[in-house]
Amino acid sequence: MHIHKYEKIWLWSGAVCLTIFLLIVGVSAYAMGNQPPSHMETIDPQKAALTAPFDKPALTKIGDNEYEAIMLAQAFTFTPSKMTVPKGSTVHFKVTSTDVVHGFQIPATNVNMMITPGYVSKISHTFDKPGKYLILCNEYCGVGHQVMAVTLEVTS
Amino acid sequence: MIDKRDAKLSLGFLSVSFIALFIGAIAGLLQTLVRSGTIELPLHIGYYQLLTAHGVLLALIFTTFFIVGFLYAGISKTMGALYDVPRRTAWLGFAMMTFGTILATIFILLNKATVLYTFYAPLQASPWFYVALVHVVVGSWLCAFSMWNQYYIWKRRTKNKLSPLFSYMAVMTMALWFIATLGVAATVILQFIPWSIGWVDKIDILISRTLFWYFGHPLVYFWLLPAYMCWYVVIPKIIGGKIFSDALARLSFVLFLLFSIPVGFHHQLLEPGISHSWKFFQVVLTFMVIVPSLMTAFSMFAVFETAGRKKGAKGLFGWFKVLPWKDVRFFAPMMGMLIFVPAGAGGIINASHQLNQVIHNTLWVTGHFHLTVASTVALTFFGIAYWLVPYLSGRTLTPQMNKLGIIQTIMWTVGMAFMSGAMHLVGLFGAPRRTAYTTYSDHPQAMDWVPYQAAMAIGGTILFIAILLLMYIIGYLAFKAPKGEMDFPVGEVEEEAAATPVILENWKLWVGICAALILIAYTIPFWHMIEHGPPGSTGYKFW
Amino acid sequence: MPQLQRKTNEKVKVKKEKELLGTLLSVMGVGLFVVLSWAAVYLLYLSR
Repeated sequence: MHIHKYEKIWLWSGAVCLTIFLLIVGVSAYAMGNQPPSHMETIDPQKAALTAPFDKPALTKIGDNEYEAIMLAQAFTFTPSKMTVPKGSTVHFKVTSTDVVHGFQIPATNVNMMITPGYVSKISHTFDKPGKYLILCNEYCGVGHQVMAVTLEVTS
Repeated sequence: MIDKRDAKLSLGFLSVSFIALFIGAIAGLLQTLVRSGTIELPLHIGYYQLLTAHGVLLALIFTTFFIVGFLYAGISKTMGALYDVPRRTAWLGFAMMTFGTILATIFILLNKATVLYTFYAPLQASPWFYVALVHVVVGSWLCAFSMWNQYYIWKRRTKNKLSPLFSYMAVMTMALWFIATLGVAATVILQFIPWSIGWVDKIDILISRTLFWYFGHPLVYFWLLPAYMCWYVVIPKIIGGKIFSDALARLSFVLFLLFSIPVGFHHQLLEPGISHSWKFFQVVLTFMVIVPSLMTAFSMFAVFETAGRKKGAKGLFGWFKVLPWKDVRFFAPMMGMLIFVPAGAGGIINASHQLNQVIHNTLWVTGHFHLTVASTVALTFFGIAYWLVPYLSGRTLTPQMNKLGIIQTIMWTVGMAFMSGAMHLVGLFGAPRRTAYTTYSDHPQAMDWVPYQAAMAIGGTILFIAILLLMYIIGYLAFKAPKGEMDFPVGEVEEEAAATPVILENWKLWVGICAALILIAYTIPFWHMIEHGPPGSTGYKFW
Repeated sequence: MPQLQRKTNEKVKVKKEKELLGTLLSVMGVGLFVVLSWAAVYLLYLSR
């Protein structure tokens, strides 16, 4: 098949660019650990609220500047609904749903993941700036979806 | 003029498509007004109910009916009148699809199916909604079978002559559609229907989502390929040029078949239960499907430049000026092509593994597919309709309607710039998609989003006026325009272009590779979901 | 026959490729736009 010289130049430059994109995200994911949330642990969605650790959803201090937030997503709120950590803390969120699919997003951060019933979703984030952070549901979950949000306060 | 019976068939599909477009557009206008806080809906109509209607009627019904109607017209034009069996099968398909559409619309309006067009389990709609979807899909399969049958008979009668480019692309588009819809049909028939009727209590959510997105990404290529058919086959004729390369055009369609299906995980990058290595593997495959679009970009510019130089255009970019900007048959698809530049760039960002965390389920995504399907594809379809509707109804595109069409295109582009531009920006700030008006108890971040949502409403209003104008033009062209003969523009290939290799029509080979890629990309992670899946979920009706 | 064959080959070689520099620059412009938008969102990802 005949391909014009310029088209070859164009296709090769395109291929090189795409490969560079893939290398950048690949190295960032595999060498630096920036993988998208892909946790494999499962749970019975009907009994999620009775299964440890989700029977006691809470924010717990687990080390210097390190916290674990065990959270339940259910129509139309998250539990616990108020959390406070000092500036510079790393929070490990561990979330599951008791009913339908929800989203878990903190706007203006990279915290963004799906909460699928039957699975435990995990994501970590370090909060360097003080403020009241929104945690909101970004997957349609029913008539009250637009009110499904809680706040995380980062104190200075 | 094509065979009268084929014209009627094609017009049948186009009619349903434009009715769906009009109802879907009304829902769209109301959504932007609600989300900006401008109005509250009367009569207990819900925002999410409108959103369901908008998604189903536009993303599924408008597109599919338009595509099938356009393909039949082009097949009849390039391969000759439909044979009896294909035509009868086509009408049966039309009847099933239309029945499914009406049934689905009724249940959405009754508020029995407010599950959005992605109908994620365990939100549970009325079983009739799922039954309706099955009718649309199976009806479209009958159309696929009918087109393949036409192609097969044509090939046999012409003793295996090289098929016309348009018909080859039509066969490929329907092959892609058929293989893709197997996934959504499987989840609806095997999972949703038994579960919503109550034959089984529980549904496996991750499996249903995976089957949906196995379908969901090739779906967007099903929208795009007919637009590419217009660009590759129709546009060269309109601008007085030739098809750049028949072989490369076919090759790009082969690549779309191969790489647009085994990539559904890039819609599931942020969900649990799928390991990141399989996600990354499908991200790599997703990047492969960019290549045929790069080829298309080159081909289109090459057609423009060659045609312009033949007309005597000088300099590096002189050819750009001599394009027929005042011909809506060119202008509308051309705007679609230009919009595909930011649309494509956005798509590459979305599919870039962890970069998805920046934009997933934010309004950026809504902005993205309003550039792809609702601008690139829709403007190309409008550009097709402006000559296809009068062509099929034995009328002509008058200069006045041509001018109105250009105004319509400009309005669409401007309206979309406002709406989609605002969506992209506010999405980067984190505003979620598919969410009614809210300030999250006056949270300062959410308050910052409100002006952008107002810009979306301004764009939405302009777009709705553009739809009213479109409806007027189409109605005029179908029923009022002066009678006459129109041209169905089908481009010819450059004389010196290389011959088309026979291997491009080796369907067994391409479908075989396609199936192999699907098996490689999906078997292990899918087996893992079944083997290690959690207990299923019961249904919820939270609306 | 062999002579004829050679003649056609030469003819093909002599024939110049189409003038498509404008096309190349246009698509490169498209490519540049893609790279810049991608880089912008990648930097946003890094900064968050």
